[in-house]
Amino acid sequence: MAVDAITVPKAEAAAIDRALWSIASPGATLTGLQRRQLAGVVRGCSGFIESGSDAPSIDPTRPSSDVDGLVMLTRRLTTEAQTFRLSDVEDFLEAGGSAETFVEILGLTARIQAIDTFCFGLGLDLPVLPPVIEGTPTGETAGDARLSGGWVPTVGPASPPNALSLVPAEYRGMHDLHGVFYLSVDRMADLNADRGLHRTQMELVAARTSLLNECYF
Amino acid sequence: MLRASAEETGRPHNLAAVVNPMAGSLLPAGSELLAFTDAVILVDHHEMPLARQALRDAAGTEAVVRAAACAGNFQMMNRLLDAIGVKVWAGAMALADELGVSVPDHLRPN
Repeated sequence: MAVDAITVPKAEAAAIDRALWSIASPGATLTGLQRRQLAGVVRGCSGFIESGSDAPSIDPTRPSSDVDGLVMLTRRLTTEAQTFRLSDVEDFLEAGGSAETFVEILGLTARIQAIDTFCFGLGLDLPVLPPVIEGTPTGETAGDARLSGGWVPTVGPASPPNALSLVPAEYRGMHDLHGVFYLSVDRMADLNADRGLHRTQMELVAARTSLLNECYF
Repeated sequence: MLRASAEETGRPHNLAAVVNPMAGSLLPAGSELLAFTDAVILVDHHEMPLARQALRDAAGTEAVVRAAACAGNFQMMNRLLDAIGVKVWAGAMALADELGVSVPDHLRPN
């Protein structure tokens, strides 16, 4: 019996498109080229592509450099985020990285992982990354962000909604995807929400995902 | 949120299934949802099409789309919270104890 392919609904397809174009565009501290390359690093180590990779090779014996540092951070965020400790953030900062770059890489890594997980779950090819959008980094950061219970500055106490608030573009990107894939912030209180799955079923998937990722929040 | 949603809407549920899928969640298509989640998060190329079809047969295409989307969303959120060290909220500690899940020291509330 032939199995019909699953079509991505319009809202989800549009959100994915917005996310991918933003990832190929200049960010707060990184160029579109750097961001697109790091997206490739995520794909190279996430396992969703069974063979082949467009990730740059990494020689662990080479002295760390700016580029290697960004690649190593991206790989770790993709494959072992649960192992992160304060010392990892401190090491990144001591090596010359900034909290803004850390948050920017975290944001794009997390969104690529969300999108690719979604596509893998539906049996679809991973969406092609758009061509690089030229331009200089925007420098857009939240001047009122402070260390408040997390390892990087946030606007308000560190929490799920404001985890990326130091870099507004990443904050906006996360919330855009969150609202389409799961629930918007203003619907979070709706314990009877139904979006193809009832809220209880959505939470079952969420809880199991978090357990498998060793995330305890 | 699973417990809160289930209790608010009067739906039977068994949180233990989150840790041990064999325990049975008591939710519609629960076993299929858990198998689907495991396949996608563990990136099981062999199991993924089987789990996808089983969920589709049990709950329909929209359920598959939402399950994939939720899994993707929490792949994103898990990384954000782990990478910036957001501590577990106090209410979740009791739940962790109930499920036999050990929260790392650095994430325990102050």
